Amino acid sequence: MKLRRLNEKGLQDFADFIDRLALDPMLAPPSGILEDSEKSDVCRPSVEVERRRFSSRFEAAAYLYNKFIEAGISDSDLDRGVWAWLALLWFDQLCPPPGKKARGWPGEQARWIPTLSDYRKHYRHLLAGPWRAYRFHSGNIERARVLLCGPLYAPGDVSEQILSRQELVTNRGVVEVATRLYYDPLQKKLKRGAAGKGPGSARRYADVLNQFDVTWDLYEMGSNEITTLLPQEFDRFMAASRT
Amino acid sequence: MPVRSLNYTGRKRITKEEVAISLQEEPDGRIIFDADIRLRKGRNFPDDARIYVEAYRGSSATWMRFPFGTVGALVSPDTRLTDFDSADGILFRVRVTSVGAKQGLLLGEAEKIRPNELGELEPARRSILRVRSDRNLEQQVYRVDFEDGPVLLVNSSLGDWRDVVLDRVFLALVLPCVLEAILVRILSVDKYTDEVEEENTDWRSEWLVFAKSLPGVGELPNVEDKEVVNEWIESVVRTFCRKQRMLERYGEYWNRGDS
Repeated sequence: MKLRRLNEKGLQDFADFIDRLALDPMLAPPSGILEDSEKSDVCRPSVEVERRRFSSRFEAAAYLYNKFIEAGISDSDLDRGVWAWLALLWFDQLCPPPGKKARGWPGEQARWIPTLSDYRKHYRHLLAGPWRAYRFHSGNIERARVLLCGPLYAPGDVSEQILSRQELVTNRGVVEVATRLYYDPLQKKLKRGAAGKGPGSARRYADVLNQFDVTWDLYEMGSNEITTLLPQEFDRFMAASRT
Repeated sequence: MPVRSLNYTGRKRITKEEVAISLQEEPDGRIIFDADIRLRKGRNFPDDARIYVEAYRGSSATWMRFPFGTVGALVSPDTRLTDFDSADGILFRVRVTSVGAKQGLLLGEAEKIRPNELGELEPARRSILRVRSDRNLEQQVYRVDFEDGPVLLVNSSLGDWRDVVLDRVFLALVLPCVLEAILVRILSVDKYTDEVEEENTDWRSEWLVFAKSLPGVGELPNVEDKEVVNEWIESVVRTFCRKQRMLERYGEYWNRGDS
């Protein structure tokens, strides 16, 4: 299917659907607007996207990144209509599977229709968020594994802590340390306790980075230098990454 | 937000007189900035210390970083603000950082530098209320955002925010509510009364200095006494409306039936 963008009418329909979804979780998505020329337009340059399944945020981000690069689609082409169209195309994957609960689902509109002028909300989009993280670290994507593990419908607290601040998500050292601390490469998922509020958790990592920012220019520091600054509470996660 | 009052490493505060930043719009509509950095003699930063200018909007929102070389050899990088959709509300910080043994140690910093407005040569007369347009307000005409000090967000669907905020109806109906919301945030939510003086650049101090300067308002209330706080805020808003002749402005529209 050719990539399209929802126009204002299409965006309004999709936004109404998300509003009603909170009341009626069984509501069928308005998939008809995907190819309705009154509610969506073909994107230029043209790019083919498939209805397919993704095993993780990583896989979806890699797919989109490569598609956009191949087609020569620039950031300015990727407006909210495009991201909303993609969210509708893969709507079933952005929903928790039957029997699985996702806290606060379907959540705020920004998860489905991005608010591009506000970075704090833009990263919350279930597809644009992972794609941006992938794009920032495409030179060494292994570094950003922690931001991209897990299913599309549940971004989780660890990625929230880093993705919500552009100065953190674009900082190679900060992201690499987060992956070392919280990502289990064997299990391909987050380590236990990474997402909580306890000592050494990702939330604490963001707090501690905030404190370092007063004294250090973290952008000038590599992952090893940042690691040496971390207080003892992070040792248990660092130790787990060495075993 | 980091606590910026602790300084165990001798970090120097670069003054706003040492840095002038101006915004310009290129023919293709993109925004670029120009930074004139003239660090005071006697700063004693090492010549190889690196200088960065960061542009940001909101404490944790859009952010870009630009290398300006070293203290001994300044350079002018490409300063296109590609991640910003407009010039509204962009602030800057300048950081001088150590290289070598203490790689990344912050040697000096200037925060919250407001640029000159687009095309202005002289520093802009600073308005206490920051205003910018916002694309995400849906059916809201305006909203006050407190993420990084109060900013009046005006729905971008209405066009240029400057035209909106100069409209007499908007002025008369909205500004008093904005003032009230800001004072409620400062006194009832934050319970802020520290160092309310002109030299203090904390936005809450700036607003309280402004409120106290209105005729007949008097000293700040005890923030623990809700009733007194409410009365004080009410008197500030009433005085503000009187000084700005809000009823007359609105009456001109109301009696003529146009705006």
